[in-house]
Amino acid sequence: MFKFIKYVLLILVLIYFFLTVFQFFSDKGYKKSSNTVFQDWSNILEGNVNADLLIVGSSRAYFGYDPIVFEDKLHCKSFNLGYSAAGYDLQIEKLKMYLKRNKKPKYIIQNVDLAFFNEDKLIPNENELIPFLNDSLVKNLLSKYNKNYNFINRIPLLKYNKRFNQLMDGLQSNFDNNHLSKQYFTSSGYHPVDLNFKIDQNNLTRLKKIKAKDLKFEDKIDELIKYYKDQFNSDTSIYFVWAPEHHERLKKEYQIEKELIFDYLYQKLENEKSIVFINLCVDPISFNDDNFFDTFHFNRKGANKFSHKLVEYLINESIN
Amino acid sequence: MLFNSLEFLLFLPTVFVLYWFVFKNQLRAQNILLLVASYLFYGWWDWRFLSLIVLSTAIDYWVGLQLEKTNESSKRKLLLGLSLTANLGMLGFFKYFNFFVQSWVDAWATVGVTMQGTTLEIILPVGISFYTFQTLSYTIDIYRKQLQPTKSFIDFAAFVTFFPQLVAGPIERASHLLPQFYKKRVFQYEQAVAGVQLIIWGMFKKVVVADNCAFFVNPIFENPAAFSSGELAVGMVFFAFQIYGDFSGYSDIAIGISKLFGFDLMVNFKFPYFSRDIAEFWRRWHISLSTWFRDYVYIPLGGSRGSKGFQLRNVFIIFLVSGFWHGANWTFILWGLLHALLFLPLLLGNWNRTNLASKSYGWLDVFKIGTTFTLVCVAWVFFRADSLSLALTYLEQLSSLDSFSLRFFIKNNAYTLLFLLSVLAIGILSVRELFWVLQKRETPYLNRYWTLFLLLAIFFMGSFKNQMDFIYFQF
Repeated sequence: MFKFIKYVLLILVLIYFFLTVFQFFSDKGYKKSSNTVFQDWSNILEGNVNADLLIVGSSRAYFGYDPIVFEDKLHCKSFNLGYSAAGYDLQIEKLKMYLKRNKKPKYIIQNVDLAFFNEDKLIPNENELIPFLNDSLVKNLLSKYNKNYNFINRIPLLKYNKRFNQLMDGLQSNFDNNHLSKQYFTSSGYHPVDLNFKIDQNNLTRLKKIKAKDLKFEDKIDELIKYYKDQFNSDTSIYFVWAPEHHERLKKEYQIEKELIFDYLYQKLENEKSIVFINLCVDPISFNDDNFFDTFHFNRKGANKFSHKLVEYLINESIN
Repeated sequence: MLFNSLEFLLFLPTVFVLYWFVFKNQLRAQNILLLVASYLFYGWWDWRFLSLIVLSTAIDYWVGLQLEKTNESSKRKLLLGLSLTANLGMLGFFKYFNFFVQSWVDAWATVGVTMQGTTLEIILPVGISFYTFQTLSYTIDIYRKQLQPTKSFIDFAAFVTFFPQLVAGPIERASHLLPQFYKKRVFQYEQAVAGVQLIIWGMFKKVVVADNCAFFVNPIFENPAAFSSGELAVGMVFFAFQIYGDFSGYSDIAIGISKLFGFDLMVNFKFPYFSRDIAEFWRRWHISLSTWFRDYVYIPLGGSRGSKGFQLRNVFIIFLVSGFWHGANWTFILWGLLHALLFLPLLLGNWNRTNLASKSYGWLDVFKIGTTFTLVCVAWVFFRADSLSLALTYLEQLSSLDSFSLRFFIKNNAYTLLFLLSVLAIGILSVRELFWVLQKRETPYLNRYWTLFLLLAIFFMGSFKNQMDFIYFQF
């Protein structure tokens, strides 16, 4: 029996060793892949960001706010914490993770849009987080959505199962990261998109069915305001920003529901000194297709214009 | 509980430790442990159906004891009839009730008579075809006075429910497996190592070969009209490897696990895709089922004795029943019929025992192997298709030779890589098995390097995320 146990243990040790080595180098490759979403996560988790200005939000934030513009104009370190396809819960989860390992920012721009009120039933872009599954913050986040993540990281390499491409990309990233897909490239957390406008009819059709009441926006706005008030003192200025919407989305059939949300935000923030609501929903930027790659997201050009505009706004109206 | 699940990863070592360390040298306690573990293993899927196993076990245990007590022919026949009725009745109800009702209604519909048939929402209990046949072998062998009934209910219940082979075989004979529960088991290093190797090899076949092939096979068989002839041809070959990897993988794991507990199960597959004719294929494929039918159906029918016409009748019966055993669908019956037709020339020419395993391979055999494999693949289309019309569409589209494009397999990077991995996995499987066939082995053998390589392949290439049931669970 002893000999058999030795045999089994030898197999287990050898396999554990090989798997651990592969996993280690793949994770390491991602962590050092410069200007990518992976390096952004790595910096967040290792407390290397420590930005003075933080942009929080969904894909509208991720594609639409260029931190370099803020950095140049405001002379403060800026970082885009946007989380593509994330609703309220995940946006705040990401902010909480950030705050656990990084210093509190002086300014927070919370992008607000209709996607903000979505329920997060699945974790979007899961693969961005896979290399960091050994970090307790990431593990806790993923396991909220899929219980399997509680034990997947206990067996080395299991997290890359059926993600063979990702494993190989990670290994290759130890030598160069140009091979990584463009979708992963970021600049201080911001992902510029160089695409021309194409109408997303499906999203517009879906949007028609959305009723503000169904989104339970009052509860979520109350919760958001409470969170920011509890978490930050007067040293941090908070801006809720509704970025310019594409003119297709400004048509009455879509706009009527948004007006309810605007009214509620104005009403709730009327007497708040530390939180300001900046509504740029209808803006000249909205009326030029060249600024968007679909009706919901800015392309690089639009993001640049909007970021400049918002900076100016902040300088003129609030910061000074 | 699935062998390729994380629950089983905890279950197996726990039972192993209790068996060899806590209950060491206590035969009765070890058998009770195996029984409890087996009920837990089965109940994990659906505990309600445990009652069926317990009922079947109790009936056959009692019938066995009663058969021993009497020599009166009519009473013995009555007892055997009771066992057959109870076991086949349960199998028939759960597996075939809806099929018979629907076929009855359809048959009348063809002559313009509309009938109302009542079908029921019946869940097919996992493994019912397997354990039914296993318990039947017990009562039939006692009836034939080839086996002494056991006095121990625990031993018998443990034999019926022995978890490694409970849900998908091999279908053990009472005369082979039951006596192993009576004897004190001694831990043997060589047996246990062989067990581990079989588990790894079986797991490789299941999660690397079968489950990766399934990724392509499922969409192709769902809508064959949407695919080119080339894609259908590859899909057919992939299914051949999927079903083989899936089922023989399960058998290897079952045999391997049994070895860890000191049991030897019968070999269920002997590298069937290296068969040189259909007769040899059936001597190498699902051996525990084909020999069961041989011993309990074919030979009682008269077997190969009598005129050619009589033999032909027996062969057709055996293949049709075998097809029907696999599932309550005309596709399975047609699959059995097709195999009977392929067997026919061999029987008529007295060539059905030409290619015995002991015979060496020559160059001509490569051609024979290729031909047999192709015929088996074509027959698999009926086995896999959800309906006869889909099977016919598949073969029609395949034979149209309209296009040899493999666009489905190479349309994007992820597919291409998975396709290449699947081909690589099939290649590894085939080369290893060819090696073993040439060595005239009956069971796989892996040295430590291969063991390590396969484990890495399981981790790198295995399909765990979309954990799939073993195909034979549905039978």
